[in-house]
Amino acid sequence: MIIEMTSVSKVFGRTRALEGVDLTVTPGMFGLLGANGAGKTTLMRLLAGVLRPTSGSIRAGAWQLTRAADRREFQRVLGYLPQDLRLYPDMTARALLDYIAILKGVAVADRRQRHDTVDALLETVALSDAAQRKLGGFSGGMLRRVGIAQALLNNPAVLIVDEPTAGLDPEERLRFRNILSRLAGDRTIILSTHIVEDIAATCRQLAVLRSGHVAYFGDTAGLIRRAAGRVWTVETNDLLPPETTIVSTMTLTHATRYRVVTPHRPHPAAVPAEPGLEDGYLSLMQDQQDARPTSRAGAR
Amino acid sequence: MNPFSGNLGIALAAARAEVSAVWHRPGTAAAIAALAAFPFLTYHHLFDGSLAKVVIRQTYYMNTFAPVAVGVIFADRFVRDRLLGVREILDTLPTSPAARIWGRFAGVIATGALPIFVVWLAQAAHIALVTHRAAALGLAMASFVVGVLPGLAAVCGLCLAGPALLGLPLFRVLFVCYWFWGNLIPSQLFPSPSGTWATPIGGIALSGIFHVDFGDGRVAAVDGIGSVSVLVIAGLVLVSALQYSERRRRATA
Repeated sequence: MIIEMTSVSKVFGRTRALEGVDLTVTPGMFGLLGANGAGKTTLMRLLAGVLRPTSGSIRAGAWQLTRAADRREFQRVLGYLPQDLRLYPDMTARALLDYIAILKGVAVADRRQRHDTVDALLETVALSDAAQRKLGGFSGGMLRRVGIAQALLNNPAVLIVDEPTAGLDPEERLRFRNILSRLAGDRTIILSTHIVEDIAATCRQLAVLRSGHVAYFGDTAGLIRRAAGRVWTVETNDLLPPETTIVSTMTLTHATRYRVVTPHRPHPAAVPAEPGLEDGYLSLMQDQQDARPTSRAGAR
Repeated sequence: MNPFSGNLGIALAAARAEVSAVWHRPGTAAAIAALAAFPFLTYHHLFDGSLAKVVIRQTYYMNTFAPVAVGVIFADRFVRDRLLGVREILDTLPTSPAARIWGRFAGVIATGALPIFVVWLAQAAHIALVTHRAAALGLAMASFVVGVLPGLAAVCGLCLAGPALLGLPLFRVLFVCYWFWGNLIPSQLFPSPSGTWATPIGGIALSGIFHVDFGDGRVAAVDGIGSVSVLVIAGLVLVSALQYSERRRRATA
């Protein structure tokens, strides 16, 4: 399903959370990257129908999401995993999934089919053994897996996951990324995160939000190309120029090794390095620092 | 079409979730049951009079404090979705929130009524044994339906809708104050709904429909029917208002 956002804005009181957002999301994994407060969660909530845009339009397939009836139809094929996932602590995982399945209209009258669906999803997210435990005793990673399971109950054509790996340990993050990648196929999966690695590992297309505007929209290769010729490694004990963005620092026995993003060679001993997605993101942010925000800054 | 698909199925699931929540918190049921049983330990002359008078008066006594526990304990059942943060997921569901709200209303009534009913069943059996009349059981069931359930409908409607408007702590305080003001303080002492059709303790309904005098003079049958109607309608109106409020919130989010 193709999702199109046209000139979407969202205002909360005096705060303009989103301004003039134009995006087209095609089937597959789509990444939404940005710093905290950039507007990612607001955008996800607009897509999921939790919020209404102040202006602009959102079309998902044949549905116009600003219309209540269309929005309800879209929500039948939607799975949503919010950033701040909260569930009923006194329910077991199985009971919660069964309840949400009914609320989603999944096999409401066919208990056996519904239970089979729930059991299969518990198996998918590796929670079969904990199915009868109360959610109040689950770890953060386990709750996230219950969250993705509830999002998949209606076999959605569109899956919106907001910061799914935040706060998870490396093993859980990897498990989560693999689950999402396996789900992509013909689905449209929108993954919002501030962790660049999650997008680098799973998405071909992405958008970068900055202060409520789209700073980049295109494929990941294009964002990486933005950092071409701007990534350096240098081993030195000297101070680097103040405009240099330091990506990583490693203290060695004789010096400190830096990986930096900057348009000009930062030090005589600096050696060009192959850019990655994180470098492209930082390069973009450097360019955006004093630039006027644009609604469509990237190239496909 | 299967009647349990669609909105009815959703309402039943919501009701079941409410009952299950209390089932796993036996202390809640115990507190309500204790307050229902308490009057039987304190009132005297419980078995004075005809069978009808004994059963109906004891229904009235039993209903003195238990609804207060229902109103206070279940005050968080609707607002907990917001307080827990579950509302964000619920707002993305394709099904109408109305079915969920009405199912929750039915579930809260059921979970509030069940412990009171168990206490009343035990006491009704006791009355039957003491009076050697099995008819006490049937009369007790009828008085429960007429005297307890309508008041619970009003109380449960209030405890779902009230906290959404006032906030949880303020509602709980005001509700307790209302219960004593609206039921237990005689209107001759202080202007109140006590002794009117709107009093949820059930005295007017029981006295009017079963022709039992509680010491304030006989109440006409039409007053009894009127009280039952007003209480049930009050509960339905409050839940309807909550449903409307939810629809507006989602439309303007």
